[in-house]
Amino acid sequence: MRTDHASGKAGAFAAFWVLLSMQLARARRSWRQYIIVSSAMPSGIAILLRAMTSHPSAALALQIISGNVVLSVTITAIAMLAQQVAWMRQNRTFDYYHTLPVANSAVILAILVAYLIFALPGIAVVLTVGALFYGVHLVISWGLVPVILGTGVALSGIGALLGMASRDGELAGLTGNLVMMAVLFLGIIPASRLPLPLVALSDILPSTYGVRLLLHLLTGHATAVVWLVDGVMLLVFSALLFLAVERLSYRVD
Amino acid sequence: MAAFEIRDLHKIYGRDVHANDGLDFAIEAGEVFGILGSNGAGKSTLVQQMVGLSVPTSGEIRLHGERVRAHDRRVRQAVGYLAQRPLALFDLRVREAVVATGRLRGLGRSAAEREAKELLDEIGLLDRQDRLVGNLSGGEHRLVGIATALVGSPPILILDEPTNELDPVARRRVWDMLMRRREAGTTIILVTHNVLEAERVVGRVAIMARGRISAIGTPGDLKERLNAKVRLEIALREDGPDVGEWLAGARQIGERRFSLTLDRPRLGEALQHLAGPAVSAQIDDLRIVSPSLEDVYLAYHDTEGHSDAH
Ligand SMILES: Nc1ncnc2c1ncn2[C@@H]1O[C@H](COP(=O)(O)OP(=O)(O)OP(=O)(O)O)[C@@H](O)[C@H]1O
Ligand SMILES: [Mg+2]
Repeated sequence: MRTDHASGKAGAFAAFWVLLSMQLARARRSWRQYIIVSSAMPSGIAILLRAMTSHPSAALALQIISGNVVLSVTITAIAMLAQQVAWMRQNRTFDYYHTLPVANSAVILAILVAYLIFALPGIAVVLTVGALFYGVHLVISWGLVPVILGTGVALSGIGALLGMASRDGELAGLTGNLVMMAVLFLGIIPASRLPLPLVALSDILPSTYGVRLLLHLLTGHATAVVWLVDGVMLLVFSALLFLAVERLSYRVD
Repeated sequence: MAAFEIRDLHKIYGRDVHANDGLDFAIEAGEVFGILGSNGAGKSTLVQQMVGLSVPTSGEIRLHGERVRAHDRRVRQAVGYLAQRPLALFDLRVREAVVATGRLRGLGRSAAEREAKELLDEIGLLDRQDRLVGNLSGGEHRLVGIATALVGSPPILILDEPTNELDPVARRRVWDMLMRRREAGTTIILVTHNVLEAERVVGRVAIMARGRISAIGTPGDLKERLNAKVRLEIALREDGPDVGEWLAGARQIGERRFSLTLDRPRLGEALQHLAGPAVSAQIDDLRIVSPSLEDVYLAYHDTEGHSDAH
């Protein structure tokens, strides 16, 4: 008989990699649907708004494009992930992980990062469509990486939280859609044109900071101040949401 | 030293579901311990607390002398657990599910690949190793679950109804696998309804009823206790008149087949009665059966507590 017991614990990096690839396996069957779902609506809205405005200013065009990029992230990170997490809870998938020698934070991070990765093709499509239809020049820089990462983790944090709190996948999907609507409205309409209560709401949505940063980055105007204010807010939101999800998924009765 | 000690364990769901009601026993390292009991007796509730997925309402569980906490790190390193609910890794291929689990238990990539292959071969799934777990049949799904519990050779296995959905061949294969793990020194805790098959493998059993343990011991011991009793299996002719009155205390086990458990001293009296001309003419078949573990189970699974065990 075998006597070589496993060491009983995988290295943190190896474990995260295994967990991430377990999550990414979802995309093997449904990557086409993921791309279509995450790019159709934001691209459609961008095109629709272009058709309805005769000569959009460059500023408005960029607001629309940034808003729709974040909407695209929202679709995967909130609407899809909320359902997935609710479903995982129903299936007791977390029990499987919670009886293996891996850190729960690694499990949660792998789920959030996987859904961020699922959002990437949609982001590319929306950026391309936006650049094409609005004829604006988009500055593609390395700064986009942490911004999309931060926005993605913060938004998938919200999605996972909704999934944890919902009784079932259907309910999670519905609330996910509601939050998505909010992100869409608050992301595309500039804060200066919003009524006060909505401004308050937009202040507590991490997508707001993501859109603003994106806007500055795409125009090549991201100053240190912008990074400091919006970047830090994004970081704080991501961290808080991550911790909340991690704690919540670890409850026992 | 005991692997697990269960001390005055109570688990109450909501306000009044007393799923575990004062459990007290120990499981020695290296033993195969069976937990039997009717549906809802509290078996899964017990093992879920042992693996730290749920916490006792009162009392405690100790692993190697130290108290088990929620999501206990030591338990996660030492125990391979098979939940009663099916494994949820639907998007993975069979091999990937086993390899990933092995890697999360600390095996290197190639060791995990090798061990997964051996396990899938041993459990009879090697030809289906590339199928998606979500597309497997109920029994196949169960087998993958068992393979994930075993990969990495954890020193303790806690398996909640491993053989329920399996066909006879697969069941035998799984029992054989568990016997080999037992030979290698693995501690195995087994919740099962397959009483007859479990008898081959388990060293001791606990029979649970309504949240309590109604009998605990080796199958031999428990059968010995039942030996104070004897069981008659009687099959009646089809055309005979009704002798139902005489069989009032018997349990019907088939069409015109009855099972009657008696105190041993009353056996002679009963046989005399059966030999009488009126009754014997109606008897098609008569057997005196010594108790099996199943008889033990049937005798204890709905008793209130230890009291009426003798
Ligand atoms: N989360 C829960 N909330 C409320 N009641 C529960 C919960 N889990 C189990 N119960 C109840 O506790 C009792 C014991 O359940 P448990 O799952 O431990 O039984 P079991 O012995 O494993 O049964 P089976 O052989 O059917 O698997 C049952 O009556 C069940 O309805
Ligand atoms: Mg059960």
